[in-house]
Amino acid sequence: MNTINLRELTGGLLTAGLGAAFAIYAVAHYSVGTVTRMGPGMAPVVLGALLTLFGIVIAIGARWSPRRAGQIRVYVPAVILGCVVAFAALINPFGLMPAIFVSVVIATFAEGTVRPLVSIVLGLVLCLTAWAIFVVALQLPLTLFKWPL
Amino acid sequence: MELLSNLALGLETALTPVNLLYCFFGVFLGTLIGVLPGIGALAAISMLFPITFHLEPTTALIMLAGIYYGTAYGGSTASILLNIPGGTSSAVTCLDGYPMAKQGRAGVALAMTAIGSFYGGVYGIIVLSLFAPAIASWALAFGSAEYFAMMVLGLIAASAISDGSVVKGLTMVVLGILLATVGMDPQSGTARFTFGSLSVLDGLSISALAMGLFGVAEIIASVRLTDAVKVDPKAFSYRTLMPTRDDVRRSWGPMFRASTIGSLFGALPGTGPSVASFVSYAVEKRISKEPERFGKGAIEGVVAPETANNAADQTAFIPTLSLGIPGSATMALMIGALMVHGIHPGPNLVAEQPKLFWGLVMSFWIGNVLLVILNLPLIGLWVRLLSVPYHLLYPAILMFICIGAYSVQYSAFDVMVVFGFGLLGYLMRIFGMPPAPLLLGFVLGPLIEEHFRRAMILARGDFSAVIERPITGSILAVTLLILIWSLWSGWRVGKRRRARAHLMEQED
Repeated sequence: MNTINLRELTGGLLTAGLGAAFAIYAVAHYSVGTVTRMGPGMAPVVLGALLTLFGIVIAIGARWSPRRAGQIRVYVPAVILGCVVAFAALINPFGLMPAIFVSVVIATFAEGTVRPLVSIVLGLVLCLTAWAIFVVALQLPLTLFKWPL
Repeated sequence: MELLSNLALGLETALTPVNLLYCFFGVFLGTLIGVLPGIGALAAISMLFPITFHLEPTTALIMLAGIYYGTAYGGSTASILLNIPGGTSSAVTCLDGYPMAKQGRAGVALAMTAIGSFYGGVYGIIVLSLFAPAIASWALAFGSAEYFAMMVLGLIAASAISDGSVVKGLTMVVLGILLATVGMDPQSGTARFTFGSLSVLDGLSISALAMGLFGVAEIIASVRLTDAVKVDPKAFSYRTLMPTRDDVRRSWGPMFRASTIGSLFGALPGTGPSVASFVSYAVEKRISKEPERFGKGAIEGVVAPETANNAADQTAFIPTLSLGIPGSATMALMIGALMVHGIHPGPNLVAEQPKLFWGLVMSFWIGNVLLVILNLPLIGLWVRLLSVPYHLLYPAILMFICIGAYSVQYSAFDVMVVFGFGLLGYLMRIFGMPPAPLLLGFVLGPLIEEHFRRAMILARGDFSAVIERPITGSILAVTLLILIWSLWSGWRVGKRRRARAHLMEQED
């Protein structure tokens, strides 16, 4: 029995869409030029078209490819990526220590079981480690604390 | 006697206190990361990549290289003691290493591995110092057309020979080149895909890209799935580290053959330490008079793959340093580290930066000696490290990634780039797209575009004139053959797999 592998199909179509988006944006905004004198738009257009082509090939191949196991997780990636975003959001207004503490505490939630004491202790220990490595040993000019208000 | 004076210059460079210190850091971290499961060499190198911005290029490369070959040493420890390969290149070592450990011969296995690794490393270094300058001087005559062809060969070989679907590998190469076009076009000054933002005018940061794709995405995939291993360091009996006379007698041949095999596969684009270790194990089993001993604790089965992967680790630097063409994603990061410092890797590198090239080569010697010293007496420490629970480890890794990305330009935007590539990396995992070809494409992309444009201007837009150049033509022909061969073998494997799946469904 042959069923279309939905995951492969989606992957292929997304790739093709991405390629097409790059190519169309490049055609609309940058000069493509001629083969002899290539403009800045030439490479993106050609590469975007290639990406679209490969995406379509993958999507067609979904008809024959075997189903692969492996679940798609939502909670873990959301927490881990959230930790990175939190760091990016806090580092400039509040300084290094709050950014590390908050992002480390968020990161520990990915485990599923919330252990507040473990999270807080780990956050503090890593703040200290970062201070020792980056500020004391490597002497990077990082602001430790800031209060924007 | 130019070689001798070069070696002396290299030794002088490698022995400066700063370089010695970072060489030690590199191999120490490499061993640590090789031992720890759930974090690979690539993730480690991308995490430490930002530090290299603050170092001299030679020192930076010495440290990154140390991490790279250090993981091969550390990986074997986990393979032998726990039957868990620390990395793909040590996977074969499990087959005979773990049975040896169960027989109480772990000490001998580790000792012979260290000796074999050292021999392989030294062999690789000699091959590197003989061949890299020769290849570089030959390649000095290359024009843009030849460069373009070499890079296409490197990219296609790396994406086609790596495991998984060829089409997906190529897709990722193309996506990598496409992402590299983001930022200011060096030839026309046009800002491409910046959407008016000044932060990306210099292009996307390679360190943020690597940390997102290999660091963050790897963590997302491992959290809650990586169990800390419970090891009792006393459970392994180190009756002796000293191999018996029989062990030594059996190991000479494999060491010699494996280092030759490793050197060959290390230098070829697309293959690398993993392929080298598999092939050398297979060769030893094939030519052995008693193949039935393999899988039950044969010393040859431990020594051969570990010698081969260390030799391959060293010779992987041949195309990277003599042509500027990386054969693997790790080597692409080395190239990236050089480019950050404004050094364009290519055949000129050996002649123009003798301190860098020979200093790096000589640091390999020092690094390999340090590794033997680190690994043999400190094995107990490494084994204890294996039991650090992952749920304490990954927040620390994430913290290092965030600070590392931020510290390059003190920009929160770079941290968001890490976020973007972390997300992309996870999506790619879901759809089974390999991340390594993307990094290769990203590093080589700007060079390919530049050389192709220049070649086409010189050929007055006539592509056939480019192909008719003898070296360019033959390189592109080889590339085409590799592509056809890998597509065909991929199709055959797919057919066999489908037939098997079909059979299983019928049996259900």
